[in-house]
Amino acid sequence: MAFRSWNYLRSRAGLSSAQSESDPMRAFIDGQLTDDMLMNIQTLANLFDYPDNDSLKIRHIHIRALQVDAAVLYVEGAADGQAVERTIIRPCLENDQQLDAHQPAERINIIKQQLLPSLAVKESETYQELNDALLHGNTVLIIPQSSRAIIIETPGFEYRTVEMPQVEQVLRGPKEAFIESTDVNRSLIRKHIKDHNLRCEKITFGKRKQNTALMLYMRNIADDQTIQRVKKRIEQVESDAVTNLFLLEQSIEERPYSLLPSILLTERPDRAAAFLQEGHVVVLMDNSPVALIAPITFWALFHAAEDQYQRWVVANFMRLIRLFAMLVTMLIPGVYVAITTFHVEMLPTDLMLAISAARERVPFPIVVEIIFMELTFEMIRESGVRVPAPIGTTIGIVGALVLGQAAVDANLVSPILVIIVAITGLASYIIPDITLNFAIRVQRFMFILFGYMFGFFGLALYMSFVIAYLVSYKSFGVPFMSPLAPRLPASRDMFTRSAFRQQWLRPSNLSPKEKFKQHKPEGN
Amino acid sequence: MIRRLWLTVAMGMMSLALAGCADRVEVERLAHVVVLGLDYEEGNFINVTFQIANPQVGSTDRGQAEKEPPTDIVSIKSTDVVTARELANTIIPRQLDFSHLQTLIISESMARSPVFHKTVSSLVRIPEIRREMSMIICREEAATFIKKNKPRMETRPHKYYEYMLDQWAIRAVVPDSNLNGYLKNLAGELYLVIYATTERLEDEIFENEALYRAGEVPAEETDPVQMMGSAVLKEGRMIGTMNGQETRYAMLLRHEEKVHSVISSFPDPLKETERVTVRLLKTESAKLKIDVSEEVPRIEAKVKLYGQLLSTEGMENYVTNLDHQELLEQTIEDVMTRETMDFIRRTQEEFRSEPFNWHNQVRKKFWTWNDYIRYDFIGKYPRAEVKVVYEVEIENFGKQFEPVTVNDKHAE
Amino acid sequence: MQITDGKIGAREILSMIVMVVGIKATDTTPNMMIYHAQNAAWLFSLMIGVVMLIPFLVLLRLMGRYRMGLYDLLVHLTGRWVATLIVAWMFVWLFISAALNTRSYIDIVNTLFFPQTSLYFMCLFFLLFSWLVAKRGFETIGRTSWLLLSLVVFISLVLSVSIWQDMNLSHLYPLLGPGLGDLLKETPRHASLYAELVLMCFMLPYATTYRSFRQGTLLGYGLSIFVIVLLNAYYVMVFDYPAVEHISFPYQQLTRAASFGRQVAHIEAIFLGLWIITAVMHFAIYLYLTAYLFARTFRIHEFEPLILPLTGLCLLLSGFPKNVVQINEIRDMVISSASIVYLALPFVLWGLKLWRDRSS
Repeated sequence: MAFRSWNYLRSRAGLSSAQSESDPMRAFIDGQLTDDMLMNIQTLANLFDYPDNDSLKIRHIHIRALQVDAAVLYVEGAADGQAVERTIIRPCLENDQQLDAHQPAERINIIKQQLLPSLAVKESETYQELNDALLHGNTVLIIPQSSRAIIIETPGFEYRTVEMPQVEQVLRGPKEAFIESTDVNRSLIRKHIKDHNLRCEKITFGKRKQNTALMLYMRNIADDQTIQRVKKRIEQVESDAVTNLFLLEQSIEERPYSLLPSILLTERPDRAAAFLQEGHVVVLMDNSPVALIAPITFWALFHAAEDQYQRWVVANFMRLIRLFAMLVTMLIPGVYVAITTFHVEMLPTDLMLAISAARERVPFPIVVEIIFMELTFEMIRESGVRVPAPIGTTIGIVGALVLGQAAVDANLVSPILVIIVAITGLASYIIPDITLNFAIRVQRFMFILFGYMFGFFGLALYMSFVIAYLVSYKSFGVPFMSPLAPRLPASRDMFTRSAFRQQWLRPSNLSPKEKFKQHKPEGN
Repeated sequence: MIRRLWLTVAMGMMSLALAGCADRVEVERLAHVVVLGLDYEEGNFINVTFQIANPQVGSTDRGQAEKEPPTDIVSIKSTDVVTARELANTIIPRQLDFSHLQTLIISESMARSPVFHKTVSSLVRIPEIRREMSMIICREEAATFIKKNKPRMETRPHKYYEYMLDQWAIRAVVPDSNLNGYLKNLAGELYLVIYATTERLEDEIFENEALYRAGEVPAEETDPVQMMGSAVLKEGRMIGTMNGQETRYAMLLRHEEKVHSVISSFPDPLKETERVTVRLLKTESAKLKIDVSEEVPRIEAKVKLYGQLLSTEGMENYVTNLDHQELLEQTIEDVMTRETMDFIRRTQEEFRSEPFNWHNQVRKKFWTWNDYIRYDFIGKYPRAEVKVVYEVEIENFGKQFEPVTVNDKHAE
Repeated sequence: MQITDGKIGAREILSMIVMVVGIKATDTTPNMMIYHAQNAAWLFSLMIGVVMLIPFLVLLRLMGRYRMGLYDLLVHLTGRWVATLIVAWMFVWLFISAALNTRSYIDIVNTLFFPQTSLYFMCLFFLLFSWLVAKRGFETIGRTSWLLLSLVVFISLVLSVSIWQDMNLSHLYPLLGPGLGDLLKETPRHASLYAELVLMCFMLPYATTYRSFRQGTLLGYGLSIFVIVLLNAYYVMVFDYPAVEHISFPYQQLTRAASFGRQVAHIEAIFLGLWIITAVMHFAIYLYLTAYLFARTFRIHEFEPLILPLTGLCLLLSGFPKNVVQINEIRDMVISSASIVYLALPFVLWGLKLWRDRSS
């Protein structure tokens, strides 16, 4: 089969050569299918740079039932080859009943209704749609004299099976995690919410509108304004490089330079489902083993998945420990610097003498000592993440034990400092969300600086700023510290939580349409 | 652009701040004074003794310096504490710091001199000085006292005073005295301060253990310091001493003071030569009735004490015999009342003021400060009619019912 | 429901009142009270509280009737020019107070904790952070205050427990101190100690409803007075009367006395920290209010950008007084001279309203 030149195609399509010099493909994508089958195939082939580019496959077949030739197009790697063979080619070739149809529209109907056993079949008449369909792993069937093509869903992207969560582990609770496929992820959420009100919208974005994200929300709960805000923000994303949620998160957040995240990524379907039912919006994308949740509050970051699954006492105990750990991580090094350089009287005399005795042989000021140790600790942690798994286990032992002990022996640091840094490091792991964890760890250095500058005076000044910032911070219009400040009606689920039965009220900082989860429990 | 400007401003400020704050001192550059001694010198001078803790001895295994002494003691003659501290820094390489100073030792001669109040009230001006600092008055020079005080079981001196303080809080043979209390009691009432010494006075040996003063307790071959009884301060000057028993009665008669454990011996009512030892607890505040309607104040104090029988030297049965019990209670009450009345007479005649904080209760009888001042309770106290009632209730007899006797009849 | 519409509820107003009035128990105000009322300082502070409450209730009533904030009310009842004059005067008064108080707060920190550090430098940092909080808007100030209110309550409880042993109830007697006559004479002179309450009325338009404003101010005022009375009583109970008069910074001295057993005895730096956090809120509110009043005086619509230059000016002004004694003197003068205005203003407005009602 001969391929005609670009100019010929252009003239058939009625385009002047000047019009589309910048992007020759663009002009064709915007166009409509013609009734010339070869022409249609040719255009698509050109779009994919066929035959130099090996990805597009064109298979010519003869549909026996209709006695016509047709072409099957699919992208290798995107479409599932076996599915194409089983659901398209074989029925077309093997069905030998004689069906009479001469009009192209009739033919298409017959193919759709009688020949193809596939679940999802649709028609299209623009190159844009065909192009998208091919890229998403679907197969296109083109028949002669028709300006419409049939799209059959045969996606065959490779993905792993559903596994256990890697980051948000629990002792009690479901143990499934999201994977890199939107369909699977959506079904994982559906499994938790069997409700017809769960709405799933497809949003395309990027310059070529080729990236898609699925936005899920509860139609009867989520606030319309919030939904629109999230949707608009996603649609405004210009870049085509945003191919997963991690990039999307950064593209749609309000304050990219802020330490605080305004969006949460979770890898747990049960958490995503819980957020949905409180009125949050969940966004799913391919290639992302997580769900994006917006808007969020501080509590979404502070709470762990397990908090609701554990019994009341246990859960609250864990949360108090977590709160304590958070304060320890953020403040202890700064407080230590403040005390030892400004407020020596705060230490019990014995401890003060012990510290001072140990410090006497250390050549550096306390602030240098502590920054040195904290940086070392951060390095150990970072190398622990980057190091290949088989040699990973040695890092912890070498770093923590040998380094600390050796530093003390060499009089580089004082022994109490090793304790301080170790406690700080240990406590920082208790914070469940990784972004909050990072934020707090970075803050720690600010507190060291202010503690060194002005002791408790400096710590307090900076703390007041941090609190004011936390309060004024907003995620998609929702105040970060709500429903605590501003205080809004909600079931108590902040630093501590009330018993599960008592959580009958949805947090109203998200302006839910339905305010109650259940009837107010009687009695107790 | 704006962001960069911000950054510059912020960086500038930070560097300023790092250079600017002059109060930053590393902990090991400080010489921590843990005991401060004040002595009176001729002229307008005082002798200030600093006992400085050496962190490298007895605090941690790491950084141990074995040949150094646990403390360094420096005495400086000067006009006040602040200048003495400055002078001391010409000798000591580290900056003298008072933030861990918890004990103030004053010599008796100092306490009796007019310089005393001046020095103490200017001491309070130093920011690090705490009003909760304990005050001790010693019989000899404070410098000598500090030098001689080498407790055998405590390497670090602050630990010694800390443990002693905890003892005092319950035993009540010495008062709990601190700067705040001293500053509160300057209007003519008596303030009692712990009395201590390293000297040994060979006086007499008392049957009643509380009659000793510091230095009189018969003990041999032990820590040099004894703390017992109290120094009496009035209007910012020391005017006398009290022994342990008097101090104890002063505490018992105070309205608000709780006394946890007074172990005291009393003559055995059934056997005159022997003594019975009892632990007395004052768990309720003393009930005071003060009548100020007339020229002479009339005071009635009622003190309820709970007792525990500890030992009976006379081998009498006070446990199962109810009559004996009542007799014992009666005896204790009588003895205590008699001794208390003697003590009160002493305060009225010798000190001409009261150590019981009764003036605090008298204040309640007046509406305005001027009325109270005009009434002049302290001035009238020497003529006051005081009545003291003790109510002793023995509620616990220890783990033995009857004294175990040799040749017990039941054993046969 | 839109939740971030820039309005604040009763809780936020309550906590702001505590931050702006209640905190006065911890600066040098008690010195003034003890100076005038001896050991009855707690009673004195209560009396001032009651005296200031009456005109405030009148004002509340008026605002409730017209459903407008104090500024609109002034314009409505006294006319544009008189209103501007009154607001200008209030601005000057508040601005001087802000500068003096900044200086006095920093003086406290400087004397007790950082004696060798440059005072000016600390003022700079302190005001910088107050501005950082203030520039985030009234809504944020309110919400942060509310978040911190629990902290304030918590500190007060901790402080109460930790100094329990050192307190002696009998020091409060004789109950009337210098006598009822003296107290009554001094009370109206010092009414403007709590004048910020009147100034908060400018912020009525920021409240969600008039009802929540009324609730918030009254409860907040009650809580503030309670805290002030309590702390004044503590000072006398711990230090006793003639001695307490010589203490320059009673709250800080009190926190030095706070202890839990012998080992946790010196925790005043923690109290300092928590106190500074509330102080930052206090000055953030001050700065915001001054900017508001300034803007109203000169009819500037957008007033939040004004906070920065005013902060700078405040910093300059706070450097003028020589020392804390001079500050206290000026402060006493400022307070006693302004009292009559704050006491009389609501009644004057009420009279104007009656006159208007009759003439119409």
